[in-house]
Amino acid sequence: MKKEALAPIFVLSLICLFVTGVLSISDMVTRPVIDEASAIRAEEARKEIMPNAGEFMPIYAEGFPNTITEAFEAANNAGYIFIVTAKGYGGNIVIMCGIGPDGRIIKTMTLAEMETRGLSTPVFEMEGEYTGKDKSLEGIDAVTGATITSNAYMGAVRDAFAAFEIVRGMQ
Amino acid sequence: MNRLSTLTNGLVKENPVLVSLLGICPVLAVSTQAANAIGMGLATTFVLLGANIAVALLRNVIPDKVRIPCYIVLVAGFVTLAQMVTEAYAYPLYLSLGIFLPLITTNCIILFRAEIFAKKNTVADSAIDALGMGAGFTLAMLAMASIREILGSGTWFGIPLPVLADDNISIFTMAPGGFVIFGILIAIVNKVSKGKAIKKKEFGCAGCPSAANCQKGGAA
Amino acid sequence: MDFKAMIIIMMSAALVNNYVLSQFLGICPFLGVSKETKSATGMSVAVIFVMLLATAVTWPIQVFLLDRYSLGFLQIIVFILIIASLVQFVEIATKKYIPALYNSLGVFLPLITTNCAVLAAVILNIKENYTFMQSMVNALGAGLGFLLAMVIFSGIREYTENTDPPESFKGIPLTMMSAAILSLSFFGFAGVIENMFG
Repeated sequence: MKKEALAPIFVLSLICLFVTGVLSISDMVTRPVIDEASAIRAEEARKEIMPNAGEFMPIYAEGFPNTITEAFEAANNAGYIFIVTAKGYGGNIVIMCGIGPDGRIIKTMTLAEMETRGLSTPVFEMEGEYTGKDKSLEGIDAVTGATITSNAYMGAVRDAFAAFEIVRGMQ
Repeated sequence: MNRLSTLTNGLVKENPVLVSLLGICPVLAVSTQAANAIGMGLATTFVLLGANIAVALLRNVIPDKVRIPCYIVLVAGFVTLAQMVTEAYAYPLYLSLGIFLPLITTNCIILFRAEIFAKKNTVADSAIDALGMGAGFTLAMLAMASIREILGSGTWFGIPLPVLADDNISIFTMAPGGFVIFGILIAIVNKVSKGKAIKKKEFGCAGCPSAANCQKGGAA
Repeated sequence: MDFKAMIIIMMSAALVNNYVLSQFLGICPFLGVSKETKSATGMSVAVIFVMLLATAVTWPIQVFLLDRYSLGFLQIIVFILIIASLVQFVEIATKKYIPALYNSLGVFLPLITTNCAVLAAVILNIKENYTFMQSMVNALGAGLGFLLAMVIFSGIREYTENTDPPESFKGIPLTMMSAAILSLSFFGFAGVIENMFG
């Protein structure tokens, strides 16, 4: 009776171990590729927001709102970039917000979102309107039928400004 | 069964999606753009191929009692491989497939073919069966996706089409559209085969051929 | 505890981004649901139970085991094995303690393993970086949405059984058309939740 039960479990365990082994090798091969590609994409996104900035240096500060996942200072005083992850409707909204030294938005860019297609699309299509706004976000209205998404986006931008104030205060 | 008929079996006579009605979730979900459909088809075929070959190789080694968990581990392994490779070398595809890439694990087609075919046939035959089924799956996906993309976005493989690009009916790229187009496709299959192709009139696993196996207590 | 966020997650999973009608997850059991509302309900409750249990097990394993030891690549294998085991466990438990339920669910229980909605729910919890409570709420919402879709559809099936469509549309195509209309009707929920919480 015992021997009967042992063989199947043994085979199953062997298969599990073998599969795990193959996958760890595959992971070791692909992980560097994935990380490198991801770093390149991030750099390209930053360059898209501030083409003339040169180098970007990561910065950290106490007191950043906890939605700020990354922050960068652009060389030659071109400004700052903040990556903000906010809670949207269907999931997280990740945006990249570039703020110039004058306290005005250079550009915002959506990196990831899972909002309701169609209804929430206008929120992301109106990204261009954020350019040039200062922290009062005057003139930006929520999109009808997508209030939660709109508010999440605006909240994310406000968090970026909050972080900006902290960084500016540090100088 | 000679090799050629095994191959074409999956394409037409026993097309996994349009005839056996298996693996419908990805067909409905990832068929908004023809390019994604091809990508999904390729990924699924890769997993099908790997799983069929592995199961056929080990068919005399895996004890009957634990065969379902063993198949599941093997399938999950190949899906994980596909996911790693796609994320590393085809990132845009990885993004558009989204959650459906890992969900290939629960695609009935793969477990079904493992149980019905690979368990009882040689490695070579199982490989060919996998290729045929994968091709059939990809074909069905491509048909769905093409219709939905052309009508819903006015493009095909991303290329805008003359009249339709301006006047598209976007409901077709959304959920209800998927259901409708699939229903019409099946109705066409019914019409063309004069009702003979689709033997089961019921969906889901009561009508699924491997229901008997599931009944014997899935993982035991 | 951010209750508002949790409610939005739950409502979103159940209504606007309904797993079945909007995200195309769990289609097979959905389309094969019997006309008997009772077994549709029973099946859905079993799915909710498995989803919750699976989340309760997979979330800690992901955070305290897989992430901590860089074993993220084992996620799919570990998760699906956990789901398969849980389904087995639920099967054995209902057979022993609630035989009536076991008999009415019959063949549907083992099939919860290949129900893509369950695997999708546990993977999405991680992808969305939900906390433990948020994950549980998401699973609950997903399950409830599944229940809603199943129960409504079993009612619709009763009606469609008595109709007389063109020959080639009999059976599955008609089911699909009904599903399409139901899916369309769920679009309406977007506005409701917006106004409740926006």
